Amino acid sequence: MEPENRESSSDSPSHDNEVEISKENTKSSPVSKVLLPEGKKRNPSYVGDPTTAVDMGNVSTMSMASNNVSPKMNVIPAQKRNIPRSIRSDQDSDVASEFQLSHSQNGDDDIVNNESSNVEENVEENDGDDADEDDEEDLHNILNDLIRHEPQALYTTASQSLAAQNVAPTSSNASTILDYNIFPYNESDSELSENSLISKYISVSKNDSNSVFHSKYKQVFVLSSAGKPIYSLNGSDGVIMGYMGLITTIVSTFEETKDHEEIKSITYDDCKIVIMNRSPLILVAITKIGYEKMQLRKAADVEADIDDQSILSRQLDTLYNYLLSMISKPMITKNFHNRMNYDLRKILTPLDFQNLDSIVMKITYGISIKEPISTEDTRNTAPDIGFGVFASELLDSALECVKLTNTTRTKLNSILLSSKKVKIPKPAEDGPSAYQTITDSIPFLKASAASDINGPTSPSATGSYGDDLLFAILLDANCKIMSAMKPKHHNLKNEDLKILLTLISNQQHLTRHTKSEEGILDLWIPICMPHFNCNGFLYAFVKTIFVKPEDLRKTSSPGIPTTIVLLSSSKNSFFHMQEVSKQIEFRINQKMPSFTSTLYQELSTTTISIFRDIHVPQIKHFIYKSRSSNQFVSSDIEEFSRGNGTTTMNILKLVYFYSTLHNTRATPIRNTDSSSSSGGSTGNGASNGNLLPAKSASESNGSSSNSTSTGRNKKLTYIKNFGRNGENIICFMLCSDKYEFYCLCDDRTITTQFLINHSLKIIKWCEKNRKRLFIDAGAVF
Amino acid sequence: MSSRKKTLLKVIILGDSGVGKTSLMQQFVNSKFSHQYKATIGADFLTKEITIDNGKQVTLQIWDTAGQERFQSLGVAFYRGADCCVLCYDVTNEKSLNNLASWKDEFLIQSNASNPADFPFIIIGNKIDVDESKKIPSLQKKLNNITNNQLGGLNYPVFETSAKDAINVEPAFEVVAKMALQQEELNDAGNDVNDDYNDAINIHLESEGSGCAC
Ligand SMILES: Nc1nc2c(ncn2[C@@H]2O[C@H](COP(=O)(O)OP(=O)(O)O)[C@@H](O)[C@H]2O)c(=O)[nH]1
Ligand SMILES: [Mg+2]
Repeated sequence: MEPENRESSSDSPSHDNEVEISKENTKSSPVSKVLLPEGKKRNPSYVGDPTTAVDMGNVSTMSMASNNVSPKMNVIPAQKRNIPRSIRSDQDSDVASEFQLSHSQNGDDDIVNNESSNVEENVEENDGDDADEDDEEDLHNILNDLIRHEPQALYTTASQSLAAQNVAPTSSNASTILDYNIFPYNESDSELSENSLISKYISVSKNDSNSVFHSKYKQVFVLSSAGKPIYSLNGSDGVIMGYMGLITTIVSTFEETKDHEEIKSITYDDCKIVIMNRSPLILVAITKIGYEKMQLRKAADVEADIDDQSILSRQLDTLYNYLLSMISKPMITKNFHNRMNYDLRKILTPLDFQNLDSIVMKITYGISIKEPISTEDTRNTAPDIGFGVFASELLDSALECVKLTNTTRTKLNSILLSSKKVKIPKPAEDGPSAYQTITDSIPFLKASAASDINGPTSPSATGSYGDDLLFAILLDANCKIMSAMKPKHHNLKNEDLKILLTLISNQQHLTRHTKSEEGILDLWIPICMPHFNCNGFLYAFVKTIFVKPEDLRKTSSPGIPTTIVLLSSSKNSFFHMQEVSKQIEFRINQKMPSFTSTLYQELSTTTISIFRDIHVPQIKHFIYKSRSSNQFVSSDIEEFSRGNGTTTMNILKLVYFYSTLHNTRATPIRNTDSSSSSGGSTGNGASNGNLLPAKSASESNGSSSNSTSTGRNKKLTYIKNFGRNGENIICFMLCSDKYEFYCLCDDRTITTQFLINHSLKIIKWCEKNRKRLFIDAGAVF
Repeated sequence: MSSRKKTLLKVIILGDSGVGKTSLMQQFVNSKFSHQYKATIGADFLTKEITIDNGKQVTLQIWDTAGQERFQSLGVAFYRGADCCVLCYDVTNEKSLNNLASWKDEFLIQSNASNPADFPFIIIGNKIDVDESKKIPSLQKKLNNITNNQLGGLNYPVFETSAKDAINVEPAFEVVAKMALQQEELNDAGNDVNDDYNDAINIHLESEGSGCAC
């Protein structure tokens, strides 16, 4: 999605009102005074957040009551309380302090890389384009220049991280949560195992204990304007209730000020608090995690480099969108109409709460981890990997697609089209008898909707099963898109699709870890797509099938799961959608055995391997985003974590590296050919943000890519991270008006030349394979 | 549908400073009483789950204010969306009894309740443990005057309590819960929720533009 369209979800000015509450004052008297951040933000990455002076005098009358259950703001670890205020701006730059510029390591450049010969052999994609070679040399010079002479353009070195390294035990070599200071460091934790650290600080816990609640790094609340809690990531009602009163009072105090100022962001000691007022709902996010306190940076804004939103407020947007998808704006308005005391929890299901947990966790940590509710309850506590959900959130709701050959994808598209058109046979004799039992056990199905479905509508003689079908999507086992179909004049926004995909992936995670056969059930989900039409519901039919070629039929292998998603405009079309899905399944699995085996083969290796596909073994992980289609691909996570720590740990690291890389101010590259006109970035805007951009747009992109394959208006970012154990990770970003490329490299001896060379190699590979990596207009009817 | 059948009710406690609002809440939620007088500054928020006689579970979210602040610091957020309002006076303080009507008016103005005539209030007269001699002379008569007053009378259930000796506190809050729940159910009945997911979209496949009408 493109930044230009953001105003639809945010009617407020684009800059956070930052308010800082000094903790000394709250301690000495119940009056919290609000100070403007002074001498603020020397760090370049934070410069430029206009700070609005806000009078919070009224808020100061809130008491920090002595009772346990009452609101307390003492979420600060005791030993940190003595930090003098003067270094507060350093705390702000916590994130920055972990980065060290490599200009002290320029010697690297002279080290001859032993592996270089291996790499040079793989030049099959280097088509000797002169322009590209110039490009490479330019980039190399610029990067070197930057590292040598302009350290202030990147992060400056702070001594803090080194001190922390000395304190931390270096006995074990295993990678831990304390590496790279990803999370706030607490000396007393040094003895804790990775699992205990995760369960103490990260795992979702609805525990009734205040101390469990306060140790979490992240909090999210949804409440009504009257202060009734609706959702909380952690804590029981008893634990959170005090905060509900506190938050509503703060929000309404701001509402009542003369300018009707909206409070947006508070920095309180080590916490950043962002409040989003979407009356009658209030959403709040609180974080202690350094990388989440940064402002979002859009690599897209090549010239302006505007920080228009904080990471937390984007997250709250996503959650709000989820609520709108589940219950729709009109229903929220209706229920709260004339009664501000409405308890919205009454219309949310337990599954909604699980989905909210899962979304928050994935967009925060890339993985969802829960504390078991009871000792027997191991059901839903397996970590649910959601790096793709995180990456999509980071990359402006870009979608992730499955790597497939163009032939296969085209074939899948035509299967969708032909299945939609299958005619209803004349005497339509469907037996709706089994129907009620199906809907009863469909977890998503809201009761009121279920009672309204009375079997198939009487089919007209000429009708097709797919008459009400609007959008069809095929997903692989990881909920990445394989193929899609849409009507000519309608598009689905990525923001909407993202919610639907998250929903389906959560559902699959839940069923995968339960023994029952539920996974086979067809689901029928009423869902509002707020960016498509915020006033009504679409109905999503979801079915998982298993791709299984003929030669596998006799074996016990279940085949490869694939999910069919059919969005219908009619709530009565369940049976028709079911019929369409049967047609799709038949065409995928039976009609053409050779196609089935091809698809099976391709689905067996959908991950992009740095070793197999691209041969750049020094790059450990990368993400490439095509900006014209707003889609991205990333390399295999297993290859990043190989032999080094648990998957959970490595995902936490990836999230940290990519967050900081993405949100660090990039250095623009002034083109020598004077083509750096600012218009370039908006050129593709028209087709951005939709699942299926209009065909003309993607064609024009295709042709223009021949002239300069790597695009204009380039920017780059280079960050070197020092880990505790002498392990370094280099983060590198290169973007232009066509793409955003992010990569991680753990080879400390890699030269800038190789870094650039390999990056360009991946970029070219992605360009060349774009038909395999991204879906274009898809099937259009 | 939802397994979370527990209804959450917002209850606010109003009355002059010193009548024992905070003490009542502490007694009800934590079964504690302290003689130490500590003026509440701003607001306190406590919750308690109770089961009322028909087996229904409710969570009371109790908002306690400070009388002397006279609203300014609390603003509408405090009153907005309340399910029940408890008006308190001190049986030893006649002024606090006379002020009940203005507390009620203030509440109705600030809360913007949709039908003020039906809004559930209850009255609590606190500190009945004190010596008879200290009580307001001919209290019952004065109380009757106030509750039966033709002009905007406070015709609400009255409870005499002692936060100190835990007399009548629980029963008072049970009635609070019942009244609030009744009101809530009346509201629900008024709102037809049957067609919640029925707002299907009329899609014109041939027309230009997206289906978005917002
Ligand atoms: N004897 C007696 N004293 C009470 C009772 N309830 C409260 N008090 C006392 O009255 C004073 C004011 O109580 P407090 O709860 O702070 O009143 P608030 O200002 O309305 O919140 C305190 O000193 C309490 O100890 C009661 O039931 N009996
Ligand atoms: Mg008080």
